[in-house]
Amino acid sequence: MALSIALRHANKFQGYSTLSKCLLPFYNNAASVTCASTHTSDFNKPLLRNGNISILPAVCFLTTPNTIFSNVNKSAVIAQNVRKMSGEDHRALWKIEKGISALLVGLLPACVAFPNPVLDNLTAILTVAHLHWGMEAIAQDYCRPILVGNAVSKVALLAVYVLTTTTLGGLLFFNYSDIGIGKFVRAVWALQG
Amino acid sequence: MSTICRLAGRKLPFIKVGLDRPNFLQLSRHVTLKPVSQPVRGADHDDHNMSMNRPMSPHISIYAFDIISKISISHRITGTMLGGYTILLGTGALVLPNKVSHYVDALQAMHPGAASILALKLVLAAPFAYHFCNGIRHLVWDTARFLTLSGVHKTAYIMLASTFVMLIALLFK
Repeated sequence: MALSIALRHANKFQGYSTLSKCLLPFYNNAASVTCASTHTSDFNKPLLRNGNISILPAVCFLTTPNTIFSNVNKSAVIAQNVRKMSGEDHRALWKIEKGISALLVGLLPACVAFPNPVLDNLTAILTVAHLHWGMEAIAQDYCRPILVGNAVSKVALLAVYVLTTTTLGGLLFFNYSDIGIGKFVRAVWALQG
Repeated sequence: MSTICRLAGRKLPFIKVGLDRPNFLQLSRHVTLKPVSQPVRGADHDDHNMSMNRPMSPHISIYAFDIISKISISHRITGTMLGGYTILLGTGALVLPNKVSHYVDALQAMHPGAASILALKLVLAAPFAYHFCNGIRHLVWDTARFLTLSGVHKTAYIMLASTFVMLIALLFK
């Protein structure tokens, strides 16, 4: 009975076949029964099937006895899962993105308080980098291929690159040929009613 | 019961083929066959779920659009506004024929009035103050602090207060 149900729902359990794989290093044989009982396929399948990222590991994670993870850093486990499942390693880029955001917190007030070409150009580059990642995220969120089609999705991403490249060129040109970002903000703020 | 078994046995003659004695238990086994449309297995998870007519996970519409959600989407909206200003400045520097002081002077020459200047500064400074303060809140989260429900609410109110103070300071500087 149980076997027939398992076979009938083999499709649904496909996700499960990946989970114990990502948690494999942390399972001993006895513990792996929790999840592996639903196994319908071998362990050597590629983790990423059709680019299908399953949230099931989180479920498995919750239903697993805590004792298994008592001596394991949970965030490290999660980090490892995500790293394995996303196919690409985004940790370095994430750190750069956050580092630039943190730099901008200090840089933007400094640029307006002490306008000079170095701060102006640094502001232009870092602001546009920040802008680029923001727009990229928006394009990827709202112009998903499933919603707007492959072509529009690609055009949206291309538009992000065109806009941010143009903006970076324009801002650097502005710093070079005009008063610069810092002085421009001061000029706007000096407007009298 | 025996009638049912016999009828079932008659309806399934192919099972009898190769069997000397029909297994009545097997013949009377209740099996319901229902036509189930084969789901279209698309390229990815979203395709699959849409073809199955499944609701969107995590069911955004069942949640109240509370202050935390509003603050979250406002971060993106204000970021988009600031991005728009940045793009305007960058592309404007490329396509406009005159230097920027020309346009600033022209605006000043119009004597727009205190209210208009305040409105202009509000439109520029409000998104900046908000995105700046909430951005710091996000950076604090990124260090794995205040990632609880109470932490999220507490930092939200601190952020809103900071935004207000910063905005007032910027407007009347």
